[in-house]
Amino acid sequence: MTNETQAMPIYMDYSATTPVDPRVAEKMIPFITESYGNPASRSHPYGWTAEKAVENARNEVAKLVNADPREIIWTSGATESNNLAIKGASNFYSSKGKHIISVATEHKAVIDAVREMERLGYETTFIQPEPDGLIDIKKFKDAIRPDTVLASVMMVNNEIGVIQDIDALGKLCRAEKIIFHVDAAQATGKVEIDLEKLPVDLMSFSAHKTYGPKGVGALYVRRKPRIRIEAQMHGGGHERGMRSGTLATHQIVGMGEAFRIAREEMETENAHIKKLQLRLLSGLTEIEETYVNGDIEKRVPHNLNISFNYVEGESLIMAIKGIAVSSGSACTSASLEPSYVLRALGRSDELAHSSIRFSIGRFTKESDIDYAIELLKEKIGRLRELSPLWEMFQDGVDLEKVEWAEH
Amino acid sequence: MMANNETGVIQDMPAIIKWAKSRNIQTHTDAVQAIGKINVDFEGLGVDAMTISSHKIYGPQGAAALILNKKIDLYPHLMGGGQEKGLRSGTENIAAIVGFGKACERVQKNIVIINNEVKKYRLLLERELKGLGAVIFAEQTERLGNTTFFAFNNIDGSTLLTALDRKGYAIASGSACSSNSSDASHVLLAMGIEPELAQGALRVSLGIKTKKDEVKAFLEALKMEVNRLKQLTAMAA
Repeated sequence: MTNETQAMPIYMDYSATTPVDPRVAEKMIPFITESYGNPASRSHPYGWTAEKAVENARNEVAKLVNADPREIIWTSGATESNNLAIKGASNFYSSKGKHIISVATEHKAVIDAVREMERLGYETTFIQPEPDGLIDIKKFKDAIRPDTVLASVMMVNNEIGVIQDIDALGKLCRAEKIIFHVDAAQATGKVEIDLEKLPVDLMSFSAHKTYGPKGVGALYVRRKPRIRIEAQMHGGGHERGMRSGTLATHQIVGMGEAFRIAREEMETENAHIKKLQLRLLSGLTEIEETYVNGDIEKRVPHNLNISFNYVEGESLIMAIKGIAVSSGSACTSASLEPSYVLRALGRSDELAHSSIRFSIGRFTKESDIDYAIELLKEKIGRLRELSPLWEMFQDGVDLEKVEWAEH
Repeated sequence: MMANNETGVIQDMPAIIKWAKSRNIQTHTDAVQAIGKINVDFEGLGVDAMTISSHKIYGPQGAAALILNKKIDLYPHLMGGGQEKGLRSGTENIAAIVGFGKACERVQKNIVIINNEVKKYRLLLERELKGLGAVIFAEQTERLGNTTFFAFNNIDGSTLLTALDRKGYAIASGSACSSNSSDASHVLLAMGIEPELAQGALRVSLGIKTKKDEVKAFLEALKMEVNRLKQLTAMAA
């Protein structure tokens, strides 16, 4: 058990999950304790109250992304939304062709769902992004084949925070009649999303990356032109048959409230977080041999991913216990493999291994940033003192040219 | 399904599983309605896979579990981060899972309440219902202590449901999932019940917090409405 008297580290892992906003939690509680009805129960007020709350929340989610509420399907989270979109649309439109395009730096929920389609006989192309993490539109265009049925590209990368040009990619897909799915789990509340303008057919959302609860998400399914998907969960016929299962009212209410707050506050909030990001960036780049991973301009203010050369990432994370960060995504943090995202950008194993993802958000304070900078300066200095590679680098040895003895 | 969500009928799972095992058939049971109302022994049953849900046992909506025999291999349907040993990816809904765990702690106590207290109310309810001329579905079969599914010949179920709702009683015409449709219960039709009778079926499902006074008051309201509707039907005839 954790020692409760021990102070918790400063949270800088907002891309793994955000704290639930207290306003969200407050709104959820009555739907656990009092209004506990099943929203599918049409025969009494317990059900009606729950259903009304679910529809209000659907409106809020739709409003944030400028969609029609009827285009929002509730799911258990972005993983389910991604699985439903990729498998559901590929299967429904399989007569058009069996080729899928995605990107090497996608979240595992997209990569593994696309791999599953491979197992079912589909061919796939994973585009390698440029060293700045962004997709070269020409490479995307070249990947399109006459039998391409679906393309899936995430809006904001979970590890490096870069924002892809969804509008341009969507236009290419639209011209070729390819279903375009976008994983926007890391984008809501951080970048403006206008689905009336964006040529996107399917879009995945998550509540717990935007100050809502874990265990709820949504899939946007375009109505005009109408996109069809094959349900992946059967029974009950909830969500117009696209996703069966009793709706978790309090969870959905929480997501609605979280998305309402995001819509109303994202502008001022992002300006504040941008300042913090720049402060962190200028503080950390005072340290020698640091490399920012991913484009710094086309990037959300919440993310900073930096490689500290000549320091091993896992030892660094152990050394900076005062802040909670990660070396990659939460899903892969159990493995000691270097991030596949950084590898896809062409980073060397050494640099990929020495990376830290700082992700900040609504409750990050300026003093937290200053503390993190001081802590890293101190610990990196100490770790490098112990590093023979650092010593060689200081002595002017070009490590690229060193011929290591074979063992 | 171990216990039916509409009729409350409890299947003879030990016999079914024994039969399946003798033929090397793997078994799954949906025990969502059974947990918390009857004793369920996963190991003793020898079933390979069992589904349980939080929000049917006083836990929050949005959490459930699949209990698996260690020897069973499954192919996952949600791919991604590899949570739950790769069998079910996706960030865990921690708050709901904690609530589900807490709800599970109370299951044994609830079973006692359901079978000692609540079952008496169900029997009282059914005695009165039969007095009014209702048919209790699967009456002679072993059923859950809290659930009764019934219908009256010559009384429209949805009219009775609405009338009772106005008096403050929240009951259902079947499962919540199908409460939007006016089709007769597929469960009753599968049991060979006449469509006309099945059409008007109503389900009363009680819980550990149901009081005897509430049941008595409900019966008064029910008697009044049933008699009123019978008179209307007689007048129309």
